[in-house]
Amino acid sequence: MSNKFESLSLQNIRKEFPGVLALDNVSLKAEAGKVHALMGENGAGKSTLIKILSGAYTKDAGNILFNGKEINITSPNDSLNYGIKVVYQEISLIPEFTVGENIFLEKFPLNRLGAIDWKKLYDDCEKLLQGIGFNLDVREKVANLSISEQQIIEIARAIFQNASVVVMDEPTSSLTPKEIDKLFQVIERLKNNDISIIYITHKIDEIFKIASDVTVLRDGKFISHRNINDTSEEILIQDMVGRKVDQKFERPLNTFSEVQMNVKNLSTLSKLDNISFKLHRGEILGFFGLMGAGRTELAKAIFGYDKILNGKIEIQGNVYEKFNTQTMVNNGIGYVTEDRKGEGIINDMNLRENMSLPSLGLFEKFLIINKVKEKKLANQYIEKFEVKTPSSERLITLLSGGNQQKILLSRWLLRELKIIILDEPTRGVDIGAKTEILKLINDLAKDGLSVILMTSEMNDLLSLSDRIIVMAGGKISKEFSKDIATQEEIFKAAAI
Amino acid sequence: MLKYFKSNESILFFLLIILCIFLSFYNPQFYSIQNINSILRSSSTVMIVAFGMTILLTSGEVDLSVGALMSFVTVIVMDVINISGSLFLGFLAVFIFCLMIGLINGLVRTMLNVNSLIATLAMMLILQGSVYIYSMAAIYNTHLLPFFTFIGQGFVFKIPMPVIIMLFILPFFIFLLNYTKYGRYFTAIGSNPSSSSLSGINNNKFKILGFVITSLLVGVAGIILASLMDTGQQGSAKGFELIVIAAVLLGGTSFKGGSGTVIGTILGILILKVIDNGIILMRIPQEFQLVVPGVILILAVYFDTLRKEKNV
Amino acid sequence: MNRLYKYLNNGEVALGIIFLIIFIFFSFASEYFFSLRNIMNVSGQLSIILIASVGFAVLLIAGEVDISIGSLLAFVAIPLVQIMNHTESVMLGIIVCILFGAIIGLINGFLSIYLGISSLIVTLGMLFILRGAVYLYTGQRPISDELYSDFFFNIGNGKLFGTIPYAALVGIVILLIFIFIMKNTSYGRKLYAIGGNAEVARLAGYNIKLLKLSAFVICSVLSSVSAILLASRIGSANHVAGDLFEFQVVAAVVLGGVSLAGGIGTLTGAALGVLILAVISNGLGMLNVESQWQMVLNGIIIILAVGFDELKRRKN
Repeated sequence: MSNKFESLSLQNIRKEFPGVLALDNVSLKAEAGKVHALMGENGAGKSTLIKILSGAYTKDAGNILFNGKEINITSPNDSLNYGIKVVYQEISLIPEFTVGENIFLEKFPLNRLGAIDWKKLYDDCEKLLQGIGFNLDVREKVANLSISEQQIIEIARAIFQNASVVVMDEPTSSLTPKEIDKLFQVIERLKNNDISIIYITHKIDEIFKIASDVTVLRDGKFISHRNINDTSEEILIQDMVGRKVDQKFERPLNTFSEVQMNVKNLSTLSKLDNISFKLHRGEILGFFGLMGAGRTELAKAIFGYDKILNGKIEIQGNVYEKFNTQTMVNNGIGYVTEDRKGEGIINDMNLRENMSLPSLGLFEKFLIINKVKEKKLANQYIEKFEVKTPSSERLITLLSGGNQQKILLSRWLLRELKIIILDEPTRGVDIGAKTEILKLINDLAKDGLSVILMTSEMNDLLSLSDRIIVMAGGKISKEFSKDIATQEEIFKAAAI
Repeated sequence: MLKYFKSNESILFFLLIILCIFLSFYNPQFYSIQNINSILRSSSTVMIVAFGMTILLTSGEVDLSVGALMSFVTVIVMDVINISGSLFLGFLAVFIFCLMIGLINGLVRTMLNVNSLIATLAMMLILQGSVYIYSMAAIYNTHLLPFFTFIGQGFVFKIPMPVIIMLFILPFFIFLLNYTKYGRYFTAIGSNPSSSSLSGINNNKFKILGFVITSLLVGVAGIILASLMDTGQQGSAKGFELIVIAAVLLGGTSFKGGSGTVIGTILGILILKVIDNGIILMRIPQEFQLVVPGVILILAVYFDTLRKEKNV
Repeated sequence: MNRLYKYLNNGEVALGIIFLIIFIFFSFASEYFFSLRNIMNVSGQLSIILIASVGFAVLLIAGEVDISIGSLLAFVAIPLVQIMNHTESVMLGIIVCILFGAIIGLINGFLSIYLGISSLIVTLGMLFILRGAVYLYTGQRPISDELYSDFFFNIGNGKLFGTIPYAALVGIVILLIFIFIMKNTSYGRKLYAIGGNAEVARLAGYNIKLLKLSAFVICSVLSSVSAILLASRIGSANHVAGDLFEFQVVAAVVLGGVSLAGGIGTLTGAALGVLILAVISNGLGMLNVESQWQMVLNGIIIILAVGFDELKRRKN
């Protein structure tokens, strides 16, 4: 890199995954010595954009310009060669390596014999860390460090050599206020060195402290690019969540009396900290939280998939302290995962088999599954939810995301159900199917089903939920009733 | 119709037919009743164990200890019957032992969370060692019970007894895998364990069941083998696990779990056994019998990888 | 105090202590055990396992596995002995032997990495293919070394100053070289990184496929060196040589704290694992315990070591 870095432009980037358009015509320009903030809700396309920059994904269309010249990034190596360094939100360090080794992972300093020059490595590392104001034992194994310390190493690693652009994905999510201040000092120093920073965050106040430009994405689309002086907190939130709630569902305003499930002081080893709430019959209880808030973990803990550390769940008079998924399914609870491909559909099965999996007992007679009866019921649900498929015997992998989701919903609806937990039910689903699914949720609740709705889609959340619980950092941070909930308030409660 | 021809089973079936035609041209003896009976007889022990292995592989697990266990079974059954003079006690001892080994395999897999390839490899080592601790020398048939000999060597209506035993067990597994919820559970667990667990299925319970069923079937196959050899021999089924696994994989069961059919497995075994037979009939050095399953194992898994890539 | 605890908690130190305890136990239990002659004998025998274990550990650290090494031991001894017998050149035999090993390593690596077949399956298949090939070629009879070269004889049987077996020296040199490589070269650290977290390594710009392939080759080549030592000791290429050898290696390496999941463990640990198992088997032999117990023990050690490793990882 002989040329001095001036700017990196992404122009009209497009990226499609099977069934989902993750990025549609997105542009962004990062300039030397400036911080460019990138904002958007979960699933807006920020991560995809970064992965294209880092060479983890390749773009389908669009251009990347480095100092005005078009470049091709097809592998992580290409990206590193241009000095594009990414600090990922999920820690990407080798836990068994020391701090120094991790920082110099890309290129270990060698001595004349070609062996690693440990003294130089650790000395340089110490200098580097002190230079950015952090004090860490460079010979300590990363596995023995706290998350926030690991985050610091990630940042140090990204900037230790010839960085031109540093991308930071939610770098402050696990830092203490003091550490955040230090990070901002580091960022100032980078700015002075003519390094460009693409800064991704949910925390709006941070942006006003350090950024000069803000770009907002929503649903994979470019929404706005504003100078920091021409914008305000309100404008940014509006950009992120969309201006208004498109659709209002008619929800009965009655107060709910009959408690269906009572979660008390639930904690897990990994994330959840003392969660308590009640769910009523026929109620839609919305959960909102940013990435890492612990919603999915909560869903899985309630459903018995993840072990709980302490706490209990009361379902219609029965109290459970130890339970697995079988207990919950037998109690009439269903769970639709956010990770449809990884935890939802079973690739080797057709629609009928995917649908009937938890309920095979319904079709069993003398140990034999009555396939005729099974098929009939499957077809009934295929018709009811207008699943686009020639028959119930089609492999589920051949369906679109929206139709797969309808099948996964049917998986629970064809049995006697009291509670359904929906984790991002409309993610990766096209608009048409989305509306249908939302309507379906509403209808089900009217029939007396209790719904736990976890979604990042502010519109869906506000239009459907009777109550909204906001989570942050594994805890419940605030609860809103339907009439007082607003987008701004919810966002503020989530970004603590 | 086209779909039918494209299915894995029909391809295997044609392959088998072509092999048979080729061999019968080469050596007309191939079609002698004697030869066919010997192919079927030696196939049947493999098939019996393979039914269990199909279940295991379908649920994403594997058992490499079946060969060592089978050798052990031949020793136990012969010894216990020799001592007690009772077939019943001999069989009981075998099945209790197999039940125990299956349980241990399953528990090590699910409770200690040891990869089943490693867990059962270690079990194979343990069994191979301990069978010699049990008895250093081969155990010969001193009880001379005629029914015992009949199990492996006898005929009913000119059909070898092992084949009849296999045919007796076969429908049970076709039924289990195709018509009951358990078949679905095994598929679901192998194809997507998170999803099956999130559907309220206790994955571990069924995995343990898979290991136990396989071990019990090894018990049956081991008794047949002991009767065929008329001895209990410590190394009698060495390498058996590879033949079973290669055949099951060749039959279209995925190494990564999720798909498997009993019919495919049977065809896979017949193909392997006909090749074995061909090696003898064509006077090719018998050592090739070791090489063939090794090559088929790698090829079968490779094709499976390709198939999976295509489906994604 | 804290520091002492940390030191004791270190796997290698723990293994060293276990080794000492076992060693002392057998010294008291058998009068022949603690004699220079016995110790030197053991060190000569165990270096065959040690060398292969070093290669195996390198491959495990890189996140792959090769269980065909036992058959490889028998297989590569054939070109060694045949070429020595026909060309009367020991060096040529050794070179070709190692070349064969390297090619098999390349094949294993290619099938696993580039075709995406699990390396356990590939090498399980290879285990049978190589053994079958050995049977085919030898007709199940050993091929004797007919050159009777002193040099070749001494590789496995000779002793420096009449006390230290050359085989042990070869083993120690190889061990030290690879300890250095794995600890102090960027190549070694890269292998640790890809075994520890392949995705991170990929994002750091490593050529993962090539690195893994090289680890396969190292494993096979070092096993070939073991094969040369073994062939020298028994004076032939034996068709049953190396039967169950892979399990001894797996047990030793896993006992030494090298994780089957990759990225964790050291060669020092692996060497201690080899040492412990060798001392146990030698000691038990002196106490007239049947050698079959050793197999059972190895099996149990594999399960316990892997199970323990899994539990530890789940805790984190």
